[in-house]
Amino acid sequence: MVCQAATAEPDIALGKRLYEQGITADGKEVTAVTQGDIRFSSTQFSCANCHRRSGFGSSEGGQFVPPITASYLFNKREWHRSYLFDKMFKEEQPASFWAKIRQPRVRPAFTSETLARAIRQGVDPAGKPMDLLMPRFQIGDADMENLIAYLRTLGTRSAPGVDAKVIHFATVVSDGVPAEQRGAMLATIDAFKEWMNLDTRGDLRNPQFSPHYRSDLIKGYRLWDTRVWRLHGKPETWSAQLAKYYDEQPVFALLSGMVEGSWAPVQRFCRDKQIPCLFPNTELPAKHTDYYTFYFHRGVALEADALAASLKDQMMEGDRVVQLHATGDAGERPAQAFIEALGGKENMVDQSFADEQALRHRLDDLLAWKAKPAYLLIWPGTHGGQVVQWLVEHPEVAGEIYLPSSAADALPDTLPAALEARLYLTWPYEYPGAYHPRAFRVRAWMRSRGLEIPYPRIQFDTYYALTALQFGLAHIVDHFSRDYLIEYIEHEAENALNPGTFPHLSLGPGQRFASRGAYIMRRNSLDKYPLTRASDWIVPDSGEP
Amino acid sequence: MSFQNENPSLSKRLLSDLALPLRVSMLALAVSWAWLVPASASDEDSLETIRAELSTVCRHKKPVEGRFKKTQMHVRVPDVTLIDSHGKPIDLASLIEDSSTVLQFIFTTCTTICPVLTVSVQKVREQLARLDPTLRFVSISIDPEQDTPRRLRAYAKRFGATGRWTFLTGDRHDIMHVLKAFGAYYPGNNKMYHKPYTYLKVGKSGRWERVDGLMGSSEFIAEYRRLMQRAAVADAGR
Repeated sequence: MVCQAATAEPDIALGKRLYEQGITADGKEVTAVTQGDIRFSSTQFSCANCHRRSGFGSSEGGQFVPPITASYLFNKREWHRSYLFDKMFKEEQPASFWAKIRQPRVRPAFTSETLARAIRQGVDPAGKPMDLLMPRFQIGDADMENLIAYLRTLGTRSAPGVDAKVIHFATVVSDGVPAEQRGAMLATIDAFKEWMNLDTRGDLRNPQFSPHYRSDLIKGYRLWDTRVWRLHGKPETWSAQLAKYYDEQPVFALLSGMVEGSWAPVQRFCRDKQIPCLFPNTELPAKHTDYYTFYFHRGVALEADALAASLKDQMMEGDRVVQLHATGDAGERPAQAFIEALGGKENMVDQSFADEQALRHRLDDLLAWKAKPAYLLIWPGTHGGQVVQWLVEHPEVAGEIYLPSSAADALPDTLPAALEARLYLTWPYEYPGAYHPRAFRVRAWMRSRGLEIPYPRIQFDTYYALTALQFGLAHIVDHFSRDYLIEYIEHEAENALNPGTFPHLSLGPGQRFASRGAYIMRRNSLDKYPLTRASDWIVPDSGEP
Repeated sequence: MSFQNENPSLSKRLLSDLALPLRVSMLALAVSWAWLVPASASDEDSLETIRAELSTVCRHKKPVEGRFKKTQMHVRVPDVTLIDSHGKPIDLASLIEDSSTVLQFIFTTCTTICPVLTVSVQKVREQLARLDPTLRFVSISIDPEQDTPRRLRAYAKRFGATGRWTFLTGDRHDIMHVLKAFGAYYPGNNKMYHKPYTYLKVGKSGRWERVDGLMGSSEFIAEYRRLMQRAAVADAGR
């Protein structure tokens, strides 16, 4: 049976599974030894853990993991500084790192035999021992053939959406998005692209502009083409519309974006086409993330979880909670998240409303209660204005009243004192007035380009997506791998690009939400900033593992 | 970085984020073209260390000593309350000050060095506990907002952690205080630049040894045994 397996055609898909998940063709783990004598299972960490899904390697804590795409493995080793620029100069590296990348140690191209020896015994084709961090895997012949067959394909497919001169991106917008908000987002993207391309054209006209290292990087220069993919009609039809746009002009990544309702259909499209989707402006990300889409936060579900965490601490026995929510994702998702986070509906009345009339009915019913509820939560969906108007007329309907951040815009400049005293908002953003040096820089950039800033959060977040992409492309140089771009964004999201819209933005391998908490805010009309913090930053212990 | 134009070309963009000392070292690099000029080292890496390491590598000899950089340090553990993997508040100082401790900083989605750091503790834990029954193992997340107690529990389970092995998360600022107290704060405020440190302490003293590097099981045990012997000698001398 072993002979049969060994002589069969290698299975690239099984090799990929072994590379990424550490699982053999017959569904088992393999054992490996690292650091000389630490035995572990391949599912504890697989090849892709260090060399990453893209195969372009990584650098962490001074440990340099070399690229192992097919062109690196099956050619003589040659370091080129343009590909090591970030690792050398943007990260702090120990002496051992510098020694490793400077040593004039070359090796011939791997063959299947020498590669199998390297994986099993940690010896390179020149006969030299490899770093002890590189595990020595105990892999059988058939699985080794599958793995090597996969490595021969790794990094060989050029990603669609980029050619010798231009790299293409698209921004998805749908019907139903407020035109002013959409316009502010698109104007930010246009201004960024315009200045970016002006600069790039200037350097491309003079490719020998630097006698030393800068010209090394020019091979990665591409003009940006940004286009808008407008979606019409029901979300069920979006997939076909997106596919049509993509067929007309494939794009390397989706950038920012704004749709009415859930982002899930766009995320599905990105997953199917394996397109990075960078930081859409949405409060309704897909319920379950996947590899390709990055979000700022979990949206209204995060707000509900943070509120539940806060109320759990302060609720007294017998306190009653009334939760009213709109039908549809914007109301149902936070309402459900709140119930789950609170551990059930005990002492809770949970009611939905489908339209303005039903909302009015639900709210008026509250006036008939003999004892007013301790807490009233309303997830108004698109009915924020009506809810606020009703609360202004009946401010004492409950002990404390909670609305989501999306209702902030519907609040009038002044509120009745009785309402101001009991009204709170969940707020998954930085609090107004917080100091972020980069916010000044971003604002100055926009103003100096004559860009109006009617929607600072949308525009600043869009700017973050643009700069994450810009720096990501600078890092990958001309290795136009979408996976490599994603890995860079995971690695560098925490660097100093936060434009001040969130207290802290960070990612890591596999992470897809850059911010994970929320404040509870209260209105204070007399304060310089009408919304002030009523809680610390709350990070709920919920959401996807 | 130019204030007028924040869309510099690719190379300018790369350069723009670099601090002046780095630009100077890049200039040296550019002039030399070949990468043979020793770059400016971090605060802790002396030029001699670099030369020693380079010469070691150039002779293609595996260093017998010096595969790890060891630093003796006194740590004043900050007065912070962290959260364990069951959501229970833990006073860090009370947890570690009165017992022998092995401490590491990790995060659960880390791909390269944290799994090796953590699995090294998994492999030596029982043997070290036999040597020193008071020994406590502590893994502190440096990505606390992502590593909620639920995620820490899953990570601990992946490495078979039980008993006197505590996984901690907490407020981002509290964790930063702890990192700074242990001299483990990373540059660029980016956890991806963290170092593979393991901190070892024998007994109640505030004296720690920091090992910079990934140890194998036998190296780990030998190092702890050495520290125990040193502590015993110090006790006998009192």
